[in-house]
Formats: sequence, structure tokens, C-alpha cells
Amino acid sequence: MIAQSYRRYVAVTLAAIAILFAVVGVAWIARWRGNDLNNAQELARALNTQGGVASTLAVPYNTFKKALYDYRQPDVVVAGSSRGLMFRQSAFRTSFSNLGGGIASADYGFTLLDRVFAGRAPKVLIYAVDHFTFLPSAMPVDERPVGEVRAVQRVRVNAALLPYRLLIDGYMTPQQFAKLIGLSPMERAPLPVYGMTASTDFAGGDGADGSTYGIGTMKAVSQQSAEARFAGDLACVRRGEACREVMRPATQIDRRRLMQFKNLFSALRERGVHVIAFLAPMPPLMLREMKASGGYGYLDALRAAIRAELPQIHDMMDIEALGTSDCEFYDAIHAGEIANLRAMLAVAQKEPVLAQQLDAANARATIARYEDAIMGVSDKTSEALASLIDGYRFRDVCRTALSRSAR
Amino acid sequence: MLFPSNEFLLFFLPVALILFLFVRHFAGTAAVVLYLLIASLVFYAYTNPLYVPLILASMTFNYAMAQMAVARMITPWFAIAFGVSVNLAVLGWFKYSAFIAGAVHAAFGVTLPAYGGELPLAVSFFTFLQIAYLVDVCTGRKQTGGIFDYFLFVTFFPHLIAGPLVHHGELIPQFKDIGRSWRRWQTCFAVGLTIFAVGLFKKIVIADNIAPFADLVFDGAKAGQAPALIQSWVGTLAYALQIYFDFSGYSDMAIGLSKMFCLKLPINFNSPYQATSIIDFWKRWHITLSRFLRDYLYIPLGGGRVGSGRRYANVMIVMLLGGLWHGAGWQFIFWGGLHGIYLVINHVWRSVSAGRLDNSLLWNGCAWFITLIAVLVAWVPFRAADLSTAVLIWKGMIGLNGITVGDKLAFLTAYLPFARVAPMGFLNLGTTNLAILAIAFVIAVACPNIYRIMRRGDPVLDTHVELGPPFRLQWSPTLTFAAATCALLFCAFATSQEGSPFLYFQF
Repeated sequence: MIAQSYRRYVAVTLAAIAILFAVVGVAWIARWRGNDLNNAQELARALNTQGGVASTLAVPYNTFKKALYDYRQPDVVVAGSSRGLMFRQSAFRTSFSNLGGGIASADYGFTLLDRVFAGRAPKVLIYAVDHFTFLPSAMPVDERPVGEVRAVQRVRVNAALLPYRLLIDGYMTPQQFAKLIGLSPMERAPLPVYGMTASTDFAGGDGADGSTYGIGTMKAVSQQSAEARFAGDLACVRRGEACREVMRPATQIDRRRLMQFKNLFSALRERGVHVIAFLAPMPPLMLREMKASGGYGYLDALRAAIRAELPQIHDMMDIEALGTSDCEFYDAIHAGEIANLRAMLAVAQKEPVLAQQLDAANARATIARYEDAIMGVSDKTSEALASLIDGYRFRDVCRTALSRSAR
Repeated sequence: MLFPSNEFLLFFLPVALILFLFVRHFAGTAAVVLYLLIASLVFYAYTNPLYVPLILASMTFNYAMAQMAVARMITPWFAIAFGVSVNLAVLGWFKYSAFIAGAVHAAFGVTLPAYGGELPLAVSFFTFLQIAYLVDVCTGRKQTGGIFDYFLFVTFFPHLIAGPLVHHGELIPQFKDIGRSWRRWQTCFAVGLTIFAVGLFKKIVIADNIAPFADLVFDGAKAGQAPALIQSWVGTLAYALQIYFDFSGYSDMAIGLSKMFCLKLPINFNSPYQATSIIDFWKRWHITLSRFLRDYLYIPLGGGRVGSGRRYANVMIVMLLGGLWHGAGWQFIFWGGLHGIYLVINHVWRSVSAGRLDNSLLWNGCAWFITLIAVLVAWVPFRAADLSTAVLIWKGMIGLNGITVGDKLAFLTAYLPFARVAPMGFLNLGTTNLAILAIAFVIAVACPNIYRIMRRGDPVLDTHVELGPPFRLQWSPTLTFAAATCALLFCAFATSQEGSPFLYFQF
């Protein structure tokens, strides 16, 4: 009787384990066909030798960015939050790497200093600073935070089960999953693609320099007017509500954050890094609405404080005078490649060090060709994606709506 | 290769088990021993093959010394003196030379040669195992098994990396009837898998989710942020629970894995945070290390047979060296010294009180509380990056860094004039993590451990560890327990992440 119980116990547990192995096996096929089995170093090597884009959730984003940095050994680096993601090698004359995508405050800068630049520091660091970083906060702000890598993993799940998590969270449709495991044919990508979501619909990812090619995002907003792109945030601003933290009305800034950036910049300077920072561009429509609402007095306070205390930060929030339009922004807080190029050209006029590094001719040519667009065809990666970029006709609807509203 | 890694769970373990059954079925015991030895060396080599020659050389040296002593080619005392010296020299070079060179340079300005590379995996563990073997054989205790038995005893992969520190007399005799019958293997596998699942769950779901609480306070203190009263205690308690669930989880996994191959290991943790004295704590925490230190250091020093002054000095020596074994740093020595002082106080108290208060419920409650506080205070230097960080946290624990309460508890300031309202960082770590911290505390201080629940399955060697009275809920091979085991296993597997090593790997 006891022996029988043990036999049944072992049979049940082994059967369950066999099912788990089958589940993991199917997931492995999906990951293998989606080019999602590489580690960060392999990805960095593959992107830099064969080209392509990567959007692999199995590799922690910071680890991936650091691997790219280590591989490229760049002289110029862009860092900061997701506002810094659309700066590319094609805009610079010397070797470049994009380390954007971290947290918004100066904490990320300290992390770079302690963890990424510990071995070799770049000559120039271009830091994309967000206005909402300076919003008053009840949270403690350290003058010199510990340089920890905080955003460890975007998805908390065993990598062997990642495809199912993507399915559950809606990042992948059942049809895409079926394509990945071979139940239906997968389209041929126009360039090497690493990562399951990137493989199934070429939704984009990061290139060899770490900059983002937001094909999926562009596709999503391609048929929208700027008003529609910013709809959620616009409504909140008009109602005077803090629907999300980055659009919270306030009258004063948090001076502790200012102090943090001061400490960061001096620490970077001590490491021999020349820092050029800028307040990331905002869509003209959003700025107008924020001003009209009267609830965002902290923006003026921020500008005044920066002018007085942190001249390294260039105010590029309002770049309408530089020729940008709302169509060059893919949502209420993210400028696209073209708007960022305009900002960089303007900063370069005041920063000789940046002027030396920036490939101004190429930047101007890209701006001229892709005015009112989120991104253009400016390098080999975007050349491979050109048919997609142009195929979405992403400018036309936005431009039409823009000219209608201007009339 | 870590036990919770996909390489181990999805590849190494299933292949090792299937081949084990295959070899066991078609070949004899000697072939099984040889197979397990090869599997263990592959496991060891996976992390860093460069250290395989080191462990092979170490095993060959120790076995040769022991055999020469047995054959009277050298005197037993020479074998012990020379053999132990060589073992300690190897351990000292790899683990302590940089620390010693740094201390000498700081004190005298003299630069000594030191090893600056990566610590060979498990060097502390395999050195101690072999010292015990060498001393026992040379002092005339019966040795069993041949060279491959000895090599497997040292390298057997479940215990190789971080223990339990099994005695050769416990493991080698089991090799001769290793999983002889299919029916017996089913029993072994059922019990082993259950314990392994519990260990994996303890590590992945509990320890890894508690870690951010400790990191927040200790890393903050390292950066100069003085933690307030509540933060200091929460951070320290979190670390105490993290290291317990991490290390005891590893031990459970090792014991469970070994049992899957029908080999029993000794119990290593017996609900240490339920101890009612420091003496009791050390009978429950890392039991196999305590046993080794007692048998091969404390007793040879004279143990308890000498006068009380010498005895207390022996206790201090053992605890200081025990601390040093954990790592080459002053904080580990300090931690060991602190526990040594606790033990001396405990022994003095025992001789003074003569057990008069021991059976009172109130006294037991107070004794448990005092013991827990003492243990928590001692964990601070163990986790802190340096002694100045430890001092900052200790200050916080006695309120010298102030008392803060979160926004939602602001009303308390009306009753606590010293308290001020400030954000409490650990409250932002998420309700799931907070719930896990609370549940972990309850499990650690009030629940029976897995060995008490699984007595019927005979999971560990009988090492005279008092597990307490039989618990009402006893494991049996029913479908309910099978489902619970699978649930623990899958839950831990699904949430496991790469890059979460065991804390004890660094030792």
C-alpha cells in the first residue's frame, strides 16, 4: 500500500514535470525562432557586425545598453530618460553610443558614473533632462545617490517562459505566437531582428548604437493628428488634473533635484567628462496648453533656476522657433529624431565641444528631408527600414490636420 | 551552475538523474560511484573549469597523505601537521592573502604577495571536508571506501558548493548500497523532490523578494544615509530573514537533490530563529559547520574539560575563526567575536542561574526575544560593507538617527514627540514584498521546519538534532502533497531570474 502511494506520488510529480518540459520546449522554439536566446554581449556583437535591431526582453535593458557601450567604446554618449532614445550615430562625427532609457532623475547619471564609466569614460556626455524631474516630491532625494542599476528586468518571469508572459500581458497576439512556433509562416524581416516582438511585426527595437527605431510606435500613431496623439494628456492639462506624474501641475520646483544635478555634473567633470545637458523638447501644442492652464508655474521657476545655477543645461523645451511642429513628436512628452536634431543643432551653436562632434551637414539634410516626421532615413538601419518608414505615410495625416488647424 | 538556474533545472538535473537510473540498472555500485563522480566534476567545471585541477590536486594530496599514514610510510602526526598545514595554506592563499597583505601594509607599510583573482568555487567547503577526513584517518578512526569513494565524497555536487559539511563517515558508507532497488529509489525521489521544491521556493520566492528591504537600508547607509529607528530594524530583520531563507533554502535543495540519488545528508538548519538562547541558536544555525568547529577545533583546544577561563577563551577562538571562515574581512571577524561574547555570557548565565528559570513560559518568551535581538544586532556587521556602515545602522537601531513615521502614520507624532513625518522607503517596495516579509517572519519564528513535517520520509541523517515533538501535519505520499510540491516547484521556477546567486557562495 505504501509502495503504491509512493509510486502514485512519483508518477504524478513526473507527469507534471513532463508537462512543464513540454511548455518550456514550446517557449524555447518561440524564443529560438524569434532570435531571443542571445545574451547582452552576443547582441552587442551581432548588432555591430551584422546590423539590425534588437528588442529582446530576455536581456535586462541596462545590461544590454552597457554591453553596447563596452563594445563601441564611444567618445560621445547620450544619456537620460526615454527622451534621449532617438539620438543616433548618424548625427555625430565620432564614435557614439546611446545610453538613454534610464530613470528621469540624476540618479541614472550616478549609475552611469559608478557602473558604466568605471572602466572607460566618454569624452562628451549629452544628458537629456526632463522638466518633470524637478516636480516637488515627498520622496527622499540623496545628494549623492548610490550608483545602482535599478531597472533590472522589464518582465519578472523566468526567461524560459517569456513568450507566455508576453501573451498574457498582451505584448504578443496568439497569431504572432503561432507564427513564432511555426504554425503559420513568418514574414521575412528587412534586416536582422533580435527579439520575439520585434521578429513578428518588426515593431522596432534598438540599433547597434543603442538608439531606438520605433517602427511599432510610428505605425500606431501614423494615422493620427497631433491632437489625437496627445489626447489623453491634453485633456488632463485642460481639466487641470494630474492624470499622471509627468504632467502634474505645480508652482515650485524641488531644489534638491537641482543640487543633485550640480553634484552629478561636477562628479562627471572630475572624471574628465564634458557634460552638455538640455531640457528635452516638448510639443508646441502641449506647451501652449500648459501655459494657458496656469497650473504649471514650476516651468518658469525651473527655467529661472537653471539660468542662474546650472548653465550646463540648455533650455530646449520650446523649439517651435527652430521650425519644429507637433508632428515631430510621437506623444505628449517624446520628441522624435527630427525634433531632437533641431535641438542639437541649436545647442551646438552655444557649445563648441558639441559643434566639433556633431555632423551638422548630415543633420540638416535629414531635417530638410523629413520635416514634420518622427524619424527619417539617416543611417544603414533606417535605410533597411525605409520601405516601412515611408510605407506608413506617417507624416501625411498629421501634416494635413496641422495645416487645417493653422487655417 | 546554480541550482535555481535553467541550465541546472532543465538540463543537468534531468540528464544526471536519467543516466543515474540507467547506470544503476545496468551496472554495479562501483560504476554508479564513478558516474556520480564524473557528473559532479562536470557540475564543478561548468562554473570555471580552471579550478578542476585545483580540486583534483587537493583530493589526491589528502588521500595520499591519509593512505601513507595508514600504511605507516609517514607518522600520523606528521601527516596531520603537514597535511592540515598545506590545506590551510591553499585556503589562506586564495581566500585570505589579500586581506592579510592589506592589513600588514596598513599597519607596517610592508607589501606582501597576495592572490588577487577570483576565489575558487567551494574552496572553504572542500578544504574543511578533507581536513576532517585526514585528521580522522590519521588518528585511527576507521576509514571506508576506496579512492573513487573518497573523491565522490568530496565532490558530490549537491553539497560541493555550499554544504552541508558532511562527514566522510556519514556519506561514504552509503555508497555501497546506493539506490539498490527501484522501489527504494521511488521513495528517495518522492522525498527528495519535495524537499528540493521547498528549498527552491524558499530561495526564489521568499529570500529574493525580501532582499530589496535589506538592500535599501544597508546600501543607503553605505552611501551615508542614516537610517531612522524603524528603517534600521526593518532592514536588519529583512537581512536576517533573507540570509536564513537563502542559505537554508540552499541546504534544503542540497539535501533534496542528494536524496533523489538515495544519499542522505545531515540537517543544516533547525528553525534557528526559534532558539531561546545563543547556545541553542548555534545548535540550530549552520549545524554542520558548528559540528565541524566543535569536533576539530573546540575539543582539540580542550573544549569544556578545562577551567572556565580557558573554556571561554576557547569559545572566543572558535567563534573568531568561524567568523573568519565566512570571509576575509574585519566585519566577519567582528560578527564571530560578537557571537563569541554572546556565548560566553550565555555560559556564565547558565552556570549562575543553574536552570532555575528555564521552564517558565514567560522566561522562554523573554529568552527567545533577547536571543533574536542579539542575533539581529550581530547580523549588522555581517551584511554591512564596512564597520562604519554597521555603526550607522546600530545608531539607527537605538534611535540616535531619529524616529520617522510615514505620511499615513503622521497622527502618531501627537503621541511620540520625538517622531517626525518622513517617507519610509521600504513601504514603496510593494505590498507583495511586504506581505512576503511578514509571512517569512511568521514562518521563521513560529512554524515547524520541513524536516519536522517530513519525518516520515526519513529525509536526513540522524545527527541527534532535536527537531521537537512530531507536528500534527505530517507529510505522506498523497496526491495533495504531490500537488503542493508541484505548485511550489512551478511557482519558484516561473519567477526565477538569472543572476541571483546564493549569499553563501561568497564564503
